[in-house]
Amino acid sequence: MKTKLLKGNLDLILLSILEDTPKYGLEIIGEARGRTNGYFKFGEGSLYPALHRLEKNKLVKAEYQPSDSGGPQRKYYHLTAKGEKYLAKEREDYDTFHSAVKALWGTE
Amino acid sequence: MKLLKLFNRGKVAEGDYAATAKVTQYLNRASRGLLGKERARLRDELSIHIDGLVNSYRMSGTPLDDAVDKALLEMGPAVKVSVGIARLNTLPLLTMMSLFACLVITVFALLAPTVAQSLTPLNTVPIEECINDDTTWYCRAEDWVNLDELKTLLEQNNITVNKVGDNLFLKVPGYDKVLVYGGSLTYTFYGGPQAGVTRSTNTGYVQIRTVLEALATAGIPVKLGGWDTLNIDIADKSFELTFDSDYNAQDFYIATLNFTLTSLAPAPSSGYVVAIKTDVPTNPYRFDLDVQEGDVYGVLVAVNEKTFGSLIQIPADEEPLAAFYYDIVHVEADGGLTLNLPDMEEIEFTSTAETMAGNGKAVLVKLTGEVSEGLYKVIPPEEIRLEPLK
Repeated sequence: MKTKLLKGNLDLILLSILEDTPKYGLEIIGEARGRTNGYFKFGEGSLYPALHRLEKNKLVKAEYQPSDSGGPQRKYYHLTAKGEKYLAKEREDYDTFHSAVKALWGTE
Repeated sequence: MKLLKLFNRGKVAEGDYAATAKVTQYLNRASRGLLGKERARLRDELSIHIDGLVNSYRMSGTPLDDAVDKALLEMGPAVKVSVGIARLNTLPLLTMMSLFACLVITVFALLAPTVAQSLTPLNTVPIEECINDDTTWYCRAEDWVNLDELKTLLEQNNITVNKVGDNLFLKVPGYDKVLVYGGSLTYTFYGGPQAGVTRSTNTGYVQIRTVLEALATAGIPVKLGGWDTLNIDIADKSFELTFDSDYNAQDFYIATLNFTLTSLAPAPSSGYVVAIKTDVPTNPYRFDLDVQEGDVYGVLVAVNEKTFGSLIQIPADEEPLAAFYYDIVHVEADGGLTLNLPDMEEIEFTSTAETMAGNGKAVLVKLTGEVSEGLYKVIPPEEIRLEPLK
């Protein structure tokens, strides 16, 4: 997919992935690829700054849980109440935009 | 299968030493700009991620070294993580660092004799006896050296060194102060007479490569070379370090690289101040440049705040300063400067606060252009020439 489309919708994608259950970085990337048949292939270099930004903006919260490999604790991210509201709003905006573009093309 | 237990803070376990060194290097670079707990947490997070990727490659039969290479390739450039994270943390962090550094240096000055004594490691390895690989004999930049020995050596060459815990503040004459992180390391010997033995360094050591990379990143010219001795040039100073193997010592590091940092220097990724400001309404643009042939300048390309914000979908209030650094340029024989703009898709936007907070000189170029398809479209052609007035 085009980088600029991904950049523009990264928050929406990440929050959507975290909507159901808390996940850590590798899981998030796997989920993004798996659920979209490999369409969303964003790199780890984009992922962590974005996750930390969402955390700083209190849209997600991170909690540490023991790693099954016995190494450092894993950092699991989950949506906050603010994040849930933000996601709902972003989704609504995206749907509106998508419908408008479709209407423009006469395919709606 | 637990192959790579803990890369974090240089702690590595079983596995190939070249592979672990690569991961440690990646973590060092990706977490650059953070301190303390923040840095440790990011390294933990990334090391677990890398560990997961490596394990998945290993399970499909990939040898460890190749698995690490693939994992790091998949991770993407470490600098992308560090720049992205720094964008969130740099300003408050720099302020705190400055205040903390002032406080610590003041306290150190008052308590110097006591503190110096307490910082002396129990098992010192003089720099000329930095312990080497157990399979090769030449010295490498990955070797760890004693902070106190390094401090003595540098200070003999008029490079001021302040130790703060395991870290160093280096002041090379003519350049701004540079922070270098030190620390401890755990390593399991891969081969040689101590194969399988795990050792730890004392705290109070620093990797030579870390020192040189920090200096080079701050725009200080650094060169590294040598075979059985290590030749290092820092600014106008030249050092030759020799190493002896000592399998019985308590402190060591093993690595494989024998490389040159020449290509990194003098990369102005930070520490530049604006020396020339100019709009470029035409291309080429004739400008009264007060420069000398061979001078090196960083280049900052400024766009307006609104454009900057929209390009990366970051609200303007989060990125109040609008400029991005992209290259260094050398003044040409006629006193002119040629600026080569990169592919717009690849431009990393950053704030002036991150790029211009220290030493060196930069050209701040304000371009006329337009936003097209969400990207900044530079005036064509993509090579811009600043010509001297004659």
